[in-house]
Amino acid sequence: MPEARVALKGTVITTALLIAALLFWVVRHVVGLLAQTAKGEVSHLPYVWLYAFAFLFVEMLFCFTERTCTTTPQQDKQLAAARLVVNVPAFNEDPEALWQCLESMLRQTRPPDCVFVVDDGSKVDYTDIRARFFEAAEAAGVEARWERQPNAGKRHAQGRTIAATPDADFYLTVDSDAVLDPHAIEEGLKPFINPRVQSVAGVVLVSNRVNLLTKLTNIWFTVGQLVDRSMMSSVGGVLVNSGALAFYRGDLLRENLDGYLNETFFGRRIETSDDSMLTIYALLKGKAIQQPTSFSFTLMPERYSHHRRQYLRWMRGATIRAFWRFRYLPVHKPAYWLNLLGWLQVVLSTCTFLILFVYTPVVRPAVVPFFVIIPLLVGYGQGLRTFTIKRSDMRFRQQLYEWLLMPVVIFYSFFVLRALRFYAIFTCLQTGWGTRQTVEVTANKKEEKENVCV
Amino acid sequence: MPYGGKLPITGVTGLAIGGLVIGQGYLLAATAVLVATGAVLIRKTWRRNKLVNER
Repeated sequence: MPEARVALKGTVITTALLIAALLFWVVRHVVGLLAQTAKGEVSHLPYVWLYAFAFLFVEMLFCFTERTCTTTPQQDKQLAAARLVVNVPAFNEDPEALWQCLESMLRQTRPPDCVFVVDDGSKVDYTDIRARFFEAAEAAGVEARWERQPNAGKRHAQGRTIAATPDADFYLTVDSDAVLDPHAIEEGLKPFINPRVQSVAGVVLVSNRVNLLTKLTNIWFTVGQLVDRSMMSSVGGVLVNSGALAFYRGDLLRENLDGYLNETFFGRRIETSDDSMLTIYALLKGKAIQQPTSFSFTLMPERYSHHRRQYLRWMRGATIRAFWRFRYLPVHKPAYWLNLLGWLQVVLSTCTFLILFVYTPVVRPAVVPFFVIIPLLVGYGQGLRTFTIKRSDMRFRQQLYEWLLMPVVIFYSFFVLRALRFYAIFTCLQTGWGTRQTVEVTANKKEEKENVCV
Repeated sequence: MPYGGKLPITGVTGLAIGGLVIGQGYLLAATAVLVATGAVLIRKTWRRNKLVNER
């Protein structure tokens, strides 16, 4: 089973590299700008470069201020005495992937008190897995529960666990294909020592890096968490926890259960974006942060059609969630402004994208290559953060190779994901899962069994 | 987990700000007005008098 940890050497080296590079560019362009201004020959490009790198500098500065929560032995005892219930909602999951998920719960350095599996009406036979799970849980001294319900969706599977465990101090929500690092729970609980912390997001890594698509997904997914979410975490305003690894206070989920199970948006029932809804509840009550030493591995789509459906679902959810955040988040909290700035970025960057990549090539073709270089450098700079994690299933050479793929990620994001995002915004009322009716990604075989209608 | 879209957004923000310096100052104003108006409208009109955990 894969493991991960923070690479101290990698963190120091990449931080130093990044700061040196940023300082070099900033100084170079400030000096260049001043020199050109003095001569009265100011071109526009130095401004573009300067602002791009200044922005990167500020964002990286914030994400580097994210703190890993640590505890004293006394606090460890407090956390050990608390009751942690893990909810595992399973729907047509590959049996081997589900087994690996459950097994990873049972080999934790701080085992959960109860692992509660809810089979949400799967068509897959889990008889063997269930028997193995009960046997292994008994050996590990962990309470095991397994219930089956007619298909009602992930939220209702979670709701069943919450309703049945009124004594839980904390809940851990995972996806049924998530494989936890052995320290994931121990590390993920530590921030709750601060009574203001209501939810803790773990860092989710892609385990099935079997083709270009999943490798690209691994890069932007990891960078997104280690840059954007780390920056949000530094001010206690994480906007979205990961479904594959997130911790919540028990009271928080119980207080909001009815609304969570019955969310509607313009009359339509919402079953998706469960993790982002729970994060809003956390933000309203206190802080939502990320613990950068709590890791989980998950399977990502290996085929484009599956990836497209997943991305559209995420982006439709992000659109719907914007309404909730604008409506309910207090304006005095950083999370409100992070949300506002996020949407400002979406609109502004798209307008500028059209000007620079559609209008400018026609008017001033010679300028275009410079505009292409800027986001590539920014991407490479942000991508350095991936070297702060040491994975047991990746050698440094592989990390380097994937980091070098950054230009592909950037251009894919520019020209494909951007279009999908706007399609999702305009079709956000299509609120179905558009996901598997049978197993789609398997833990061991590197193929998908198709599937599905959107 | 909509983090897939964040990387390009961040990168292009540099371009966006740079683009404004080039001479699209009106773009910033228009964008700010658009997003702020949307935010206020949602705040004042959507799910009026309902708590976040209310149906």
